[in-house]
Amino acid sequence: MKSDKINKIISLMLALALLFVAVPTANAAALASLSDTMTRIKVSQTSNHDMRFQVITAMSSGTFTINFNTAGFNAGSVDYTDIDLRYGSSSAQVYGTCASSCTEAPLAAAAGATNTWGAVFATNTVTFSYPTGGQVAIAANDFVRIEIGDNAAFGVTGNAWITNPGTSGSKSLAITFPADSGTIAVPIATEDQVVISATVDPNITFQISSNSASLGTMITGAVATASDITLTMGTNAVSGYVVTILDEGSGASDGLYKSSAPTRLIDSATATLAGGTEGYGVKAITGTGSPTISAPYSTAGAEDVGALQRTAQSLVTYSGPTGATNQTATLRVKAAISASTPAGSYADTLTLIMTGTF
Amino acid sequence: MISVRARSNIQKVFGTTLFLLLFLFGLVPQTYAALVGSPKDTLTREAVSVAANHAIQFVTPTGVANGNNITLTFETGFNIASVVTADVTVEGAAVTSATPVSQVLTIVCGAGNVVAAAGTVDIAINNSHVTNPGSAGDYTITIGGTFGDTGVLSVPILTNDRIAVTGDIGFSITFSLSSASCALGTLTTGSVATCGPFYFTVGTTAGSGYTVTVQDQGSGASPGLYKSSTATKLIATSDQALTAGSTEGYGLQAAIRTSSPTIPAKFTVGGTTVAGLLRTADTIASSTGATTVNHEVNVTPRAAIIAGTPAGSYGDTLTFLATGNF
Repeated sequence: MKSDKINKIISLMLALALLFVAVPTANAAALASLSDTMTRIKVSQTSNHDMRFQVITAMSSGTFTINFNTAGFNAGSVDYTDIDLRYGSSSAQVYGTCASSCTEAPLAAAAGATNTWGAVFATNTVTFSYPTGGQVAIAANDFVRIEIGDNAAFGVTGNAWITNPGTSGSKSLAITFPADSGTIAVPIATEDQVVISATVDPNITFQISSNSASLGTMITGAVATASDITLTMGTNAVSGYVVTILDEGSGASDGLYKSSAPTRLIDSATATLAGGTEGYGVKAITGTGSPTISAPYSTAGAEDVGALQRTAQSLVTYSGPTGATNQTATLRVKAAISASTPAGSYADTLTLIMTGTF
Repeated sequence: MISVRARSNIQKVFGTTLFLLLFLFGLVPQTYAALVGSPKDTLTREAVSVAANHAIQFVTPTGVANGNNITLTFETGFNIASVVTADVTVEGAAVTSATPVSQVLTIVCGAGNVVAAAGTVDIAINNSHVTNPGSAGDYTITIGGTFGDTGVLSVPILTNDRIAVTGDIGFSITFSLSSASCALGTLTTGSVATCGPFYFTVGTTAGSGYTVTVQDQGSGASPGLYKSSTATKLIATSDQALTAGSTEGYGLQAAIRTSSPTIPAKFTVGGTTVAGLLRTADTIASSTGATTVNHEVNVTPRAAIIAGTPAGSYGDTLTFLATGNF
């Protein structure tokens, strides 16, 4: 009887001892230096993920997972074509160009015998499966980089993204390797962008250096020329400006007019003036900022003039804002008389108008 | 056959002899080494093959007189070869020498060092100059010496005397913006425009801290403050001092609002100087450790135009990203 009890106690102790030995002790090492850089952290936005970490223990079989599900992310239609996996002993290479000491893993829907890893999302958890035919193993202390989204450019560029959770806060992503594990947290914010706005009001300035131009006493032997008048234009009108010129003339016809009896009008016409031949007109010369002089006022000849009209005629134009420095153009008035031109005082009024196109 | 008489005689002889022997034994003076009381040794480490300090204590019935030595014999396995006199103290007195020879450490107490009979002897062997045995088990240290008492104590040596305790702090990172918009208003050539400041708040338990970046939308091709309607116009952005009316430009300033984030110098400018923006993520704040309190950073956009800056509505989008470095 006593012997039976002793036997039972010994059996119980042996069973407990065996159980203790048989149960695997979970001593998962912690992944190191984990980060996940996203392109958007706003709620419900799609975003790229750039996940980086260092394993402690080598992996040459089995699977590892990244669980986006508990954090509320939605993998949507993301598949292996939207994922890149690379690893190696050099963090500079793995996190850089992966030119050496770095393995860029071909991915497929299932692990293959030809060095292809499987990468599949299921219930917002992505599972990476080690190639059935072997591959360059993830060595102890290797660095690992996983890109998801259109930053996954190995093979084909990704065209699907994981959608952020619909609520803000810290969201944890669990990474589980056969021997190692770790957690990355990412912030999801109500807003991750600041929209900057500003308005620039329209402005336009126009100056005429003088409001008079004297042709002096005209003679038949020469073309009379008044002192140059400088036109100064400035505007931020996006489509630029136009300066027009309008002639008063006689009030009925354009020209240089003698209003006292007997009245007389020296007609304005586009021409090359010469002493002894009656004529009148203006020309313009581009200046600072190179505004465009309109025809017929742009002809190059020294005595060339364009005809003035009693309707506004384009004189100077520019197609955009004038920039930091105002633009200039020179207006030159010219006239000539013949031997029969009546003596007297002649006059005219030129009206210059600048218009911006904003 | 032995007769009854003969047997009686033999008994007498033996009896007498025994009496004499006992008598003579009682006359010879005997020396009795007393046993120390309550011996114990407290080690700083009990793991195999590691160095440890020893704190040995016992009660001496005899006492320790001037010039006496105390010997400590460590069981084979301990390595005491590195022990020097400076490692050893005996409470209440100077130690003249402490000399290891093989497994025996002999401690000579100097003059004036007296432990009274029935007193407690405290011996410390410091500086981790005793190395534990390489195998687990119970090991003895025998106390002896000219002070007269003897004793034995035992110490356990273990395969592992430590338990590695680990714990995780929850992985967390939070980020928020105080505003989703910032209006510079109507820009004029008379002053440098500004808006905000708005601020972002970041907090994390990440042991290696966080990084907050800012990325500029600009025109979609180049960074800056952009007028997207025809004719398009980009007010470029760069590290520069803005001057209203003469320097067209755009950029940001950043400054600590709360706690101690690290902000790159190009952003911590004042006056009308701004930092240029990039179309790639550019670090605007960071820390190298977890945040005990949230970090807050003020951000101030600034812009300036010249007279010819095209009229119209301008806009830009700044995207802020926070990444924890776990």
